[in-house]
Order: sequence, then C-alpha cells, then structure tokens
Amino acid sequence: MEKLAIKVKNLTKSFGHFKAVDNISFEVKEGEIFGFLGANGAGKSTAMRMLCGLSTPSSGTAEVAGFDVRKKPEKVKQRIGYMSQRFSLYEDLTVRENITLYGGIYGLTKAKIEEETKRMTTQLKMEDLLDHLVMDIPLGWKQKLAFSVALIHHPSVVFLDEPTGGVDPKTRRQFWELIYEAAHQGTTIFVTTHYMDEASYCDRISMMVDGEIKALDTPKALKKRMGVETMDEVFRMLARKAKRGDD
Amino acid sequence: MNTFLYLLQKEFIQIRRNSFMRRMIIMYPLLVTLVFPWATSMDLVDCGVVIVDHDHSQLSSRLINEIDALPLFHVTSTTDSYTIGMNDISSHDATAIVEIPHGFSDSISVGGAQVYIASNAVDGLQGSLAMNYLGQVTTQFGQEIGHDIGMNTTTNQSEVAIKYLFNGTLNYRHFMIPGLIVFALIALTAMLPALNIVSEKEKGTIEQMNVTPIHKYQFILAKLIPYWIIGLIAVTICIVLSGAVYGYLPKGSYASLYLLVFLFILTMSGIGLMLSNKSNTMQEAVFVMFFLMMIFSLMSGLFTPVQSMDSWAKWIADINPPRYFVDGMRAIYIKGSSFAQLGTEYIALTISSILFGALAVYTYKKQN
Repeated sequence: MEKLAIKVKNLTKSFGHFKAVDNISFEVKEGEIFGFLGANGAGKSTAMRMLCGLSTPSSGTAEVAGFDVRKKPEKVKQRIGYMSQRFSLYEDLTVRENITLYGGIYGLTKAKIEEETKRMTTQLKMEDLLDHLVMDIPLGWKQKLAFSVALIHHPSVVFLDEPTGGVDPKTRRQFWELIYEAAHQGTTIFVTTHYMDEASYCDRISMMVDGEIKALDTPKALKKRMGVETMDEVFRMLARKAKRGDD
Repeated sequence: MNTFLYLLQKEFIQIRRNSFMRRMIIMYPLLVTLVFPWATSMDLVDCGVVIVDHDHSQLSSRLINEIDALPLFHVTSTTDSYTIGMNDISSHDATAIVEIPHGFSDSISVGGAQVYIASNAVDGLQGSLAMNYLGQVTTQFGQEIGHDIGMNTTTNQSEVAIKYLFNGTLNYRHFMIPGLIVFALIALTAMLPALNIVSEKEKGTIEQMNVTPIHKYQFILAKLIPYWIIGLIAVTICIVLSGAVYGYLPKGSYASLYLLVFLFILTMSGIGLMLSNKSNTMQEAVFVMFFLMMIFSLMSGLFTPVQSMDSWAKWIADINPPRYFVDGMRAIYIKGSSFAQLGTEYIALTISSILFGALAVYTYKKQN
C-alpha cells in the first residue's frame, strides 16, 4: 500500500452556525499532485488553512506528513511548505535576503542556505536579480520564487493556494513545470486553482461545493462520469448546485 | 546562527530600509525638546497691562514704571478712562488693568491707599497669575513707600518668603521636558510596532510566518527588540539635546532614569502588540491607538496635576502607566530622586510591563 501524505476524516470548521467546511474526508498519496477545486466561498481556503495548522478544526481529524494537525501543529509546520493566495515574500527585502530568512527559519545551516540560494537562482534563471528588492521584480518571477522558497527545507507536502492568480500563460506553464519537478522528487503537491487547464494537470482532483466534497477522482474519470468533454464543464455542472453565492 | 537571529536581522534590515522610520526617530526627540516645551508653556511671559491713572501724581508714575520694569509685564497704554482700558482687554492687547484712583498719593501717606486690579480670566491661568503677581508688586510698592516716608508697615505683618526647593527658577521647560518624552516613547515603542505587525497582517506575510515552525516568542521578541533600541536611542537624543540647548540635565542618576525608561518601553510595546493582535487593519489600530493616546496624555498628569483631578479621574490616572513614568521622570530630572524614593513608580511600571507583556503573548495566536 502506498504511503499517505494527507489523511482527512470528517473534518469540519464552523463559524457560529455557518459550516465553512462540512464533514470532509479524503486521502492524498505521497508524491501525488492533488487539485483542490471549488467556487469562491466553497471552503477551500478554510480547509487548507486547517491542514497547514493555521486554523483549528471544529471537529474531525487531519493528519499531514504523519502528524495530527490538532495535536502537533508545530510538527506539521516543520514538514510542510505553504504558498498563499496573497503574495507573501517580503517586498522590502532582496531575493537573497528572503531566501536567507526562510532558510534560517527552517534551521538550515549557513552553508546549506548558500547552496540552496545558488541552486534556486540557477533553476529560476534569477542570478542577476539576486540583490534586487522583491518589490522590483515582475509578478511571475515573484510567484516562482515564492514557490521555490516554500520548498527550501524540502518539505514532504507543499500547499499552494491559487499560486498562479494573475500570472501570464507562459509563466503559468513554467510554474507547472516547477510543480512537476518537485512532485517528481517525491514532494506531495496540494494545490487550489480556478484554471481548469491546470486542474487537468493534476493526478487527482476534488470538487468542493458549499463546504462539502462533491466529487473526487482523476480528471479523466470525472469527465467520463459526467459525460462531458472538458474540465470546465465538470466544474460548471457541479458548481451549479451550490447554494452559497459567490463569496 | 539561530532562527531568532535571522528574524532579528530581517527586522533590522526592514527598519534600516525605511527612510520614514529613520526620520521619525530623529523628529520625535526634536519636537519633544525643542518645540513642545514652548507650546505647552504655562509661564506668564510679557503680559500686557493697561494703566488707568486718575491720580497723575509722581507716585502713580513711579508705580507704573515699576510694573513696566518687571520682565513679566509691559504697560501697553496709560489712560484715564476705565472704558478705554477695557478696549485693550477686548482686543487682547492687555491681560490686566491696574486702576490708580484719584487721591492715591495722598492716601498712601496715611496708610489707606487702594489700587484696583482687574484681569482677563478668559485664559484663567494667565489671568490669575497676572492678578497674583500684580498684587505682589503693588503690595511691595506700598511697603517701599511706607518705608521711605518712615512708616513702619511691617510691624504687624509677618512676612512670607517663598523659597522653591526644586526647580528654583520656576522654569516650565524643566517641568515639561521630562514628561513630554512620554509622547516620543508612546509613538515609537507602542504605535510603530503595532503598525508594523498590522501591516504584515494586511500584506499577508504574517500568515507565511505562522505556517513556519518558529515559536511565537521568537517572532514577538524579534519584532519588539528593534523598537526597544529605538526608544532608548530617542530618549538619549532628548537628554543630549536638552542638555546641549538648555543646559538642562537630570539631577538624578542615569541608571535610575534608564531603568524607568526601559520599564515604560516594555509596558508600551506590550500594549502596542496586544493592540496589533486584536486589529485586522491599519485603520483599526490607528483609531484605537489615538483613543489610548488621549487617555495616556490627559490622564497622566502631564498637563494638569493629578492631585487636582476629580476622584474618579484620579482613579483612572492611578491605573494609567504613563502617569508613573511622567511622575518618575520629573522626580529624577528635577529633584534627583533615588531608586528608593521612586519605589511606587518602579513597582507600578514593573507590574504593568509584566501584565501587558503577558497579555500580548497570550493574545498572539499562530492558529485560530
């Protein structure tokens, strides 16, 4: 049996009477690219925040990288990478300073940080931008950099919350190449997106509607089951049943 | 290098790159020592006096000259009509009227001279000060004249001589500067770190920090230490500036002064941090800070003595940390009070720094 990177059982998060995430259960295998889809307000971000230890579950259990998110959130944090919807590197620090900071936070040695800086900038072809402030580099570069920084400590799972929002198609393509490469090296990728072409790049996807998971399978199987040609149609057929409005 | 040092390094780089911050660190001490003391002065300086002279005698002009010669007063005009004198008061050219009645010089020789003094109490403080001083001047004048003509005016009076033990020259600056430092510290060590953390919330970078395994103490300390240092630098600039410009230095020890400053900085950064934990936007943080700033400054005895407050207001002042700082700073600067004499202030600020420090750590949540 393959090892599991994420194991979620009956996970719920309620704010008062409102159930943002309603009793969801799923499993993600190690090294898998798992697409986490849903309309705005479906509860994707809340679910993801619980898995990252940013938010405490109201009920249910979730195990990430071998640790329970409720009991050992700090252990989980050591083993995961996270890249949020909002751009989250420090704009007033240089590329090098950002890499050094996150390397230092995860306890990498000085020599290791230098090595990672070199490897990362070569891979991203950012050697010339190393001492530029992050605010001065284009968005696409920033996102690729943020992704690489999220992987600096070689986490076993990396969470990406709409990582390619506002990025041009060419850069998105490059971004997905980075994702594939990381997955190839055994990192589990948990990604939310609104781009349906990106959804079809995933090994498996789940569809969240009104806080619940309504479908979970490979993109191919989903299309077949719904009897449609594209992921776009799969999304619309499922999202149509949503009772919650956009946001 | 350990994790904490990486975080600290990041904060220092960010502050160094922020030119606004650098200016603030200099601006506050400049305002506190060079600008505010003049604006908050309650000294009576160069107060205009109208003389309504009905006597037109040698003695009355001698009294006029005596008033005019004092550094506190200048005679704006001399007239023989009270109504005209009132015009000067209405136009704010003068604060007080001294009316010398007809027959003044005749009655003085028999010991029954009267002078009528009126002052404008729209500014109550200035008015009563002018009244007081003018009263003293005329009484003294009467005694001098009595003495000159051989009357023993002091036989039945015990003379009251006032000797000021501290701040002998009654310089208002000496009273205000140590207190005004409170503003620099509130702004630099409560407001700035609060805004810094809230801005990380707004940008979303704090979330990235919360998803790493750093301990919250590490994050908080790395945030606050730079501001503690900034606070200490600002206080030092204030001390050096007021020493260089006014030749005014604390009478007490620097050790007791810096201990007081440091305890106050800890309290303020705790309050600032607590505020930032509870605010989600800059607006919220600034608004609450503004509210607190008013309580901090108006209920601290900085401008008005706590002793003269209403009992309920006194109660608020008693739990207002800046009150102990302002009192302590003034005592060290003016009286040269020692550690032992400032027991209450040190204890109060130690309690507040522990209390708010604990609340700040408690309210900081990596997880919600």
